Amino acid sequence: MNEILRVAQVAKRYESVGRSVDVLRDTSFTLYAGESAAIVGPSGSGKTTLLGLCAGLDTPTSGSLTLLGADLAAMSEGERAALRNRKVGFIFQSFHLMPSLTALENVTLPLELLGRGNAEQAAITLLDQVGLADRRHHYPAQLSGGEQQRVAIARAFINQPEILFADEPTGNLDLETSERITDLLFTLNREQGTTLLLITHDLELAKKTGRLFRINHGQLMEETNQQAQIAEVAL
Amino acid sequence: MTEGERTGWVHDIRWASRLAWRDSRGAKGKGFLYALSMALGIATLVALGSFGADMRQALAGQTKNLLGADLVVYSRQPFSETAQKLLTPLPGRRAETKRFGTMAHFPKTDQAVLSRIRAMGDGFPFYGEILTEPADAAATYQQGPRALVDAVLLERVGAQVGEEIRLGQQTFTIHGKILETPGVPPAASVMGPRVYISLDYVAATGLLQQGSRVFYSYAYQFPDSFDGDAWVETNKKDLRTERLSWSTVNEQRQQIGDDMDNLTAFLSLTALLTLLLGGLGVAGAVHYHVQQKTRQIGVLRCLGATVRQVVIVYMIQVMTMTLFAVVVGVAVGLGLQLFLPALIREFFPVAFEPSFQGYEVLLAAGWGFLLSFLLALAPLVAVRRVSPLVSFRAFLNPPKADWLQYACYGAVILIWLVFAVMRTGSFQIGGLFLLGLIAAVGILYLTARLLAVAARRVSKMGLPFTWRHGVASLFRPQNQTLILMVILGMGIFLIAVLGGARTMLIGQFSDVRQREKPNFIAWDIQVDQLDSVLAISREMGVEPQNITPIVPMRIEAINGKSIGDLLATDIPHWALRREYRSSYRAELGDSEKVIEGEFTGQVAADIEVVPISLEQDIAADLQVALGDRLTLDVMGIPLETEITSIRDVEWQSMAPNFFIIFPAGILEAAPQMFMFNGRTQSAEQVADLQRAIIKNNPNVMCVDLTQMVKTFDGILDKAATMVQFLAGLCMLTGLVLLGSALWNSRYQRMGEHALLRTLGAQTRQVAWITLTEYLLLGLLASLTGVVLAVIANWALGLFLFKVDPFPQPLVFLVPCLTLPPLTLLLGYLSHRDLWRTPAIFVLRGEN
Repeated sequence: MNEILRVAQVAKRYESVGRSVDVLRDTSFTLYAGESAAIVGPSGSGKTTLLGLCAGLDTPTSGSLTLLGADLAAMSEGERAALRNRKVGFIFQSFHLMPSLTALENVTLPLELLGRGNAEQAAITLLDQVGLADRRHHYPAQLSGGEQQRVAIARAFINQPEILFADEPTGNLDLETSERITDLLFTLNREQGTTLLLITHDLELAKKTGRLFRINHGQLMEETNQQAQIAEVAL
Repeated sequence: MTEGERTGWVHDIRWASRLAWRDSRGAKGKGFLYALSMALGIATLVALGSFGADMRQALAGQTKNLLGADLVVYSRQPFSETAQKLLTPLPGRRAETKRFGTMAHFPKTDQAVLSRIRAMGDGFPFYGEILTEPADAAATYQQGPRALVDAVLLERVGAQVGEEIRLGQQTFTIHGKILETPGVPPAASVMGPRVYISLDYVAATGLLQQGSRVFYSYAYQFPDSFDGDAWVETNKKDLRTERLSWSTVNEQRQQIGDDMDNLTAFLSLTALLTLLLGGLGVAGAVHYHVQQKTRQIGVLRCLGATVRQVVIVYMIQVMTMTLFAVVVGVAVGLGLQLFLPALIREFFPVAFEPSFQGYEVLLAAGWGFLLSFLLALAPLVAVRRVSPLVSFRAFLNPPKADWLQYACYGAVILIWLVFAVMRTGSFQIGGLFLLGLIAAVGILYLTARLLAVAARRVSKMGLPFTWRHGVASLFRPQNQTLILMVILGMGIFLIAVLGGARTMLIGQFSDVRQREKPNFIAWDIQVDQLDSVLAISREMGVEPQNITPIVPMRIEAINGKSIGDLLATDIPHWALRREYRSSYRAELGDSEKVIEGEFTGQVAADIEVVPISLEQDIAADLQVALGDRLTLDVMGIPLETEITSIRDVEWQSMAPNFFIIFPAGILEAAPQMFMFNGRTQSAEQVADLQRAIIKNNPNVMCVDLTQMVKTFDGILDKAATMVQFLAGLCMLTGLVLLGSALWNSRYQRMGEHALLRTLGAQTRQVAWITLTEYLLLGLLASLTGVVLAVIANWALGLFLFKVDPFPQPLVFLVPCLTLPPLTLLLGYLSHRDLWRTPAIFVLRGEN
């Protein structure tokens, strides 16, 4: 199996007002092509920091990160941006659509950044897949939360990413919409064979992934489904 | 790179342009409104730059016409034999002229007006021509008893060409109407209308009597090979010894050019200051824009956009806004340029039409673009430091300012300095101008800050809910309250200082407006005319007051040092050369008091050294003190005097006052003239009295001070227009900026209002909070300007005009009362729809 993401003994320390905080300690794991994984943990446990490091948005204090075969530490910011643009997708809890762009323009954005032609046709196809082809000329403010997140999913998949990072993708949605978004996310993930790494508080969502990591006080541990169920019962 | 992908600058710019355009949807109005405040500054730069170039061109084209000759030598007394000898070697043509004042009488309408008479020798002016109606009148008026009369004067008395004008004992035919005289600004005609006659007829008027104030001059036209400036340089000392003054073409051009350059430099720098303040407002807006876009920038970075690409997106937006400002500014500036000549025409010696000044437009547009762009760019560079991680975080630390931001602001100051130096042509003057303006803005800023702190303190002193929130709203993050207070305050400051200075100047004549104070003066009354003139005045119902003798004299020496030697010192030449019209009295008047020494009121006729009293300012100018001796030439007789007292004189009073006062007993036998004043009740009574006096005493001059004050007021009105133009510009920029800031924070306000209403506030309360905020903003800005204006006026009154600095405190109150209603109205107009929007729509984000 192709190795997509390798995190080796990564640590992250923040210096703040004369004291240092170890947000992540000695974190290691590897994700392979087509795998899906979830990172769960309480607020402030280091989930988002880990996601940022894995996506090359931040640099670790120590350890190494290899994303799609490239050593992130050896790459410049420009090279990391190019890598994200071509092979990485993102989904955010707050959708983060550009408010002044229509749904279609939001989806075409990554391809336009790449300078690829026929971005619009590809975007329409994806918007059709997420059920919003007829709303493509609407602005984010004219869409509901669920619709906005569907547009964000279409945007995340437009460049056919090899890995998708999702930060609480259903965190701002109601239960019913969450389920529809989750189905959509996993369906597209399967269809495109994308590796998925998501962070969430939602254990139900986490259980839908192939692997589950729990993070607490900067320590990451992989759990089996059985361990997760025990933890859930215990909670 | 996958097939079909494009990279590089061209792709980045193309992509960024598309995104910049899309991103600006719905915000273009806001951007353009901000651009408008910059455009106003650029417009003024373009207008004033072009206007300055127009003036320079007009002067350059008419250099010699300004003087009418290559050299003019002046004297306040008939040219002495030595002076004549000194001037004899000068080659080329020479024309003699005599200038004096007299009452011009128009028999047909029976009106008499104090006028300036120019008796011209043949051929003058050598360069340029007096524009008259009919056109050939200037060429033929010297061929007989004919006069050219100022159009303003003819209009005032209702006289026509072909009618008669009487000067002293000679009647002249009005041969032509003077439309324009080279080198003479139209305002000069208003204050002292001119009448041109031939030199040959001066004697026939009988006006040049002993003691008359006459300016004698010789005008020269040199052959091309002769260097007049060099001759003056060589003979400067001798000219001074003979008490002669002179004007050369170069000096005249230099003087007018310098004055105009200083004026346009000052105006341009003030315009640039307005641009800078407007630009700072825009910088604040861009800063807020970047803050608002931080998450979007983070998302773009997550999606793979490079720093370069993201910076280009916002740079394109800023450049578009700046270019818009430049285009609008240039267009408006070219429009304004058309009106500026009319504002200064009265005070500029050469008429000119506005023309397109490509270089100036380009320069102003270039400066404007650079400054505006840098000011907008400074907050934009923070975009570079936005981490993509912000997309995942709920709370963000705002990007910190970095060296590039400081470099931008540094470049702004540097550009401003270069502009100031270029405009003034001197590093020192440019630097001083810049420092002065920075100090003014600094003081405005400090005042605004102090007032803001005071307002905050007051708001905590148990004010009602709505007032408390109104004050608090003033200081919301993107309100730009301080910038608005500075820029609006500057407008108020200019208006209030102008108004204050004007009331001070006019206030000097306040006595004229008081019913019982004299408002009519008659002077140059010969000894043998005195009784009859006083009798006429009494007959006409005007009781003569302050009948005062006047004895003209000149300084010969101070403490034994001759005038020639004194002219080589730093004592002002005018103070040494001038004719001192002095008087003698046994007791001092009400409008003067001794501040040093003791006044001697009476002396014996045979006293050797006469004790005299000097006015304090002239004593300072002459650098003399108690005990110093002045040798005075009283109509050819040297008189040794000693300063025994120094006086403080209220010049603005209508009482006759003098620099030098003699005691009674010594000058009674000297050749002298008299003056008196009186109170008239109407313009008609003045006219009747003037006619009656000059009928038999044509050399006597009279003036209606009420009319003179009105004329002076009119001149001040015209002189003030340029400053009013700038003040108006400041106010407009401030209001545009206020509108923009308001638009900027509209959505935040909308949310706050909805929240307040959801929490139970009534629409009336929400509205009152907003209106309080705007009313206070207007009040604080007004106060900022007025506080400074009061200080400036106090300084002007005390040190420059030396009068009561606040003759009419109302003048400060009026601008104070104008601005708050304006800001209140702006607040109401911009918010009324917000108050009407149902809170639920806002909270749902459906607005």
